[in-house]
Amino acid sequence: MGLIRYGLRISLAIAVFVVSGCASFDPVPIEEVGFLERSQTQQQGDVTLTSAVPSAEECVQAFGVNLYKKNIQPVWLEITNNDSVRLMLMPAILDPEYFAPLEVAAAYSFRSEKVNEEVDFFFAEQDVGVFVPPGETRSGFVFTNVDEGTKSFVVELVGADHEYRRFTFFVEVPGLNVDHRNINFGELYAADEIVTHDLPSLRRVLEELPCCTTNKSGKGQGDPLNLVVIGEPLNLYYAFMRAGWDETETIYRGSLWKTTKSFIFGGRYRYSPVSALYVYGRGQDVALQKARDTIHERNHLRLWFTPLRLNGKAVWVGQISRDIGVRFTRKTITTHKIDPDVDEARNYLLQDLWYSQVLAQYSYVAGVGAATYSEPRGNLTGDPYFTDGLRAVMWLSGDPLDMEEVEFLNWEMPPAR
Amino acid sequence: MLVAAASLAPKSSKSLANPMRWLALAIVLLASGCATTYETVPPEQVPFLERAQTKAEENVQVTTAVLSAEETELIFGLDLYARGIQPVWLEIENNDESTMWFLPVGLDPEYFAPLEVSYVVRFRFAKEANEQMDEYFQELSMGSRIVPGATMSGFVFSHLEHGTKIFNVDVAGEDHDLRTFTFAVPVPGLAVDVTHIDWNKLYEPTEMVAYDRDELKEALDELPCCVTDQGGNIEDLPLNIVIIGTRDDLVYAAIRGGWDITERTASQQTDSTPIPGTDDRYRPVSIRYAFDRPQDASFRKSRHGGQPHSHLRLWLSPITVDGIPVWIGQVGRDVPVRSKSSGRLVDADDARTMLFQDLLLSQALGFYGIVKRGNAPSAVQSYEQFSGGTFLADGFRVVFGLSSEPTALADVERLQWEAPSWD
Repeated sequence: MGLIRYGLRISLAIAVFVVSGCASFDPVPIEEVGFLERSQTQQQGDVTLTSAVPSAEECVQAFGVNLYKKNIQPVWLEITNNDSVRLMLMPAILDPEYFAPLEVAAAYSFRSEKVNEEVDFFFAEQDVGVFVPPGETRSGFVFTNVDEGTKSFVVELVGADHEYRRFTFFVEVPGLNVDHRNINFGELYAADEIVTHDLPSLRRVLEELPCCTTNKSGKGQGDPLNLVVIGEPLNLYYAFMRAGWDETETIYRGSLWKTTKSFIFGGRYRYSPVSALYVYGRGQDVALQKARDTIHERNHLRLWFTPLRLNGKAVWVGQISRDIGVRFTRKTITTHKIDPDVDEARNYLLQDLWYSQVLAQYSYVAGVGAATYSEPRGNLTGDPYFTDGLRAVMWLSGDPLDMEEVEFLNWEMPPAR
Repeated sequence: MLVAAASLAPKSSKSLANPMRWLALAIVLLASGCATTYETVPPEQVPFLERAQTKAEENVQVTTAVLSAEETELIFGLDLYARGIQPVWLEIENNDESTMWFLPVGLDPEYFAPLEVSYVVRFRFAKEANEQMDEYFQELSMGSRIVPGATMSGFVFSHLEHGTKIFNVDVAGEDHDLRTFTFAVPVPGLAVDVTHIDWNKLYEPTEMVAYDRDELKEALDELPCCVTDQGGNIEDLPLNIVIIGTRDDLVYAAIRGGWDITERTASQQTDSTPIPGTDDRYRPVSIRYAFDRPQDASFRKSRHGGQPHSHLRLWLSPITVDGIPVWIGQVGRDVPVRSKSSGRLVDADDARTMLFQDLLLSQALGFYGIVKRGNAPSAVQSYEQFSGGTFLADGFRVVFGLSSEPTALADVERLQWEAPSWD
């Protein structure tokens, strides 16, 4: 448990000093790399935690090797323990599949045995370790799997007093071109376009929203708008990150190439772009996805920020579908075959948010229009779907909420399935 | 009587690469008029329910069974196991006054939707058979809303697991009560050491030593420090953990903590082909020796996608504490070997931290303590490994006392034994 930090610190320092000066492995001290300027600090009682995540380029500088290319993302932590008890860090909470420092080192092979040794010692030395004695500060890295866009993670410190100290971070990592980042939600609507509703009038308005997305010219009938989410932009963002959804890249050449590559090779490219569908005459404001084993299987959702408010809270309308395969089309090169049972994907999301403890209340509202299994409707790319015609309405909770506290508002009841 | 439907499964594209096969296929299609049929056996004719388990709580009763590979092929007419898909049968009886919702995410956060499965396994050039298949999967799949007094049954399509499948059936009531039923279901097909070893013959009754909890620390001194080669002459990786628990609790705790029980070590010499649909998750762990014999149980932890992550080897010791068996083990990471290099430095105790967290988070731990590892020096040292490379080990082992009941994190007891320098 963190043996390297404590047991070998001095001998490591000597070893690194002796073999340094090798041209092929030349990390820059982290203070000179600059990512610490983006660090965030949180305090709970007598414990202070600071965290920062270097980008791909910063990693090349700080670690002398391209970690992102191997799907490794170091998270820098500084833990100051002014409490009277020893604290233990739980890296498996931060990432259940975190890498051990020497495992990271072993992923790189240099010609010279001496340099390999230097790499081993260097990475061992970067480990944050596990225990933080009272009155002391520890800093270093935990090596996690790569998250692009915003990295959300929980740092948990268990005290010898059996108390758990939990810190949740949302850290922006430079390098990904995502939809929502380019949007200023405050400027999407003029003040006189914003309409505030109470519950009964919101229900009516939600029933009257268009059934489906359209193409760019506002024509055609695309995927059903089967989601309504109520919560502030930041709140929404945190909720979906916490539930394990990833941001997606706007379709541009670079990322399309990445998607095509992962389509051909079947890899797990988590940030593959979602093509644009239209509501309010514009493409989605937020596109998120949850990758599964391969890109052929993922859930993706699109959300639009509406001019509606419920007691001051923002209302979003959206669409979710479950991708079950990929096929080539002329328009967007590749597109996804969706599960025709779109309600299944909607119910999945409801459970997903529920289990992630970010759901406060849910309901169902009409507005999509039913389509049966035997007489399905089609979306813009010709995929058939059937639905009970309802939208799931989900109120987000700001703080993690116990699963048993979630409320059901009985507007409509979906048919038993 | 039963229809063997395997031959109807779509052939791999590789076999169609040969132009003669295309020609043959075209002729068959012309002659048969695309007569691919989808043939299945009704679930009630397949006796999997004989293995069903039932649990009841607060007016809700859940019965479940996991289909074997053969049963899956009969009922669904296709080899779903080869695709990594394992159907779990459920029956939920709602005797409560409020409506109940079954939440499949609790059973498998990445469960497959029925029409997703039927799409993945669809036939080529057989529209009618595919439509039939879609309807059949839809019909047999488990629903979600169970009104008062009703019983609902069907299949959930989960990710394939061998050995023992442990899962929750979560039922949320409109009475704001979440009922969680936990099942541990043996899945026929995987040969594992724990069911092949004759446990009563490992030790003579006279060799067994019984201690109580107060004597535990001293008792552990008698255990060997390290694994060895076959002859017991060369010491190797540290025996860096001790587990106190029954065999059932041990298997349950490990699987619940995300570790898979692996195929028999004996099979590694004869057959090392991964089981289809599971990558390397159940690949046997290589043999090391303690008590002059190979490990009694092996587990493996894999990364998402199936690459090996860590391994765990365990031996039953002749010691019991308060009547509960004591196991000694070696846990380590599977670190890739550097190409073109003999120098490899491994932290032999790193995966111990991982195992500790896994047991803690799966609420399987009742107590833990840290104790010196045999006669090893209590400081970090580097050692040569007989398979090549160098490892660092710290001279301590962590003792895990398993609890049969889920134990909240805050209730886990720490034995105040040793305080290593890194503690």
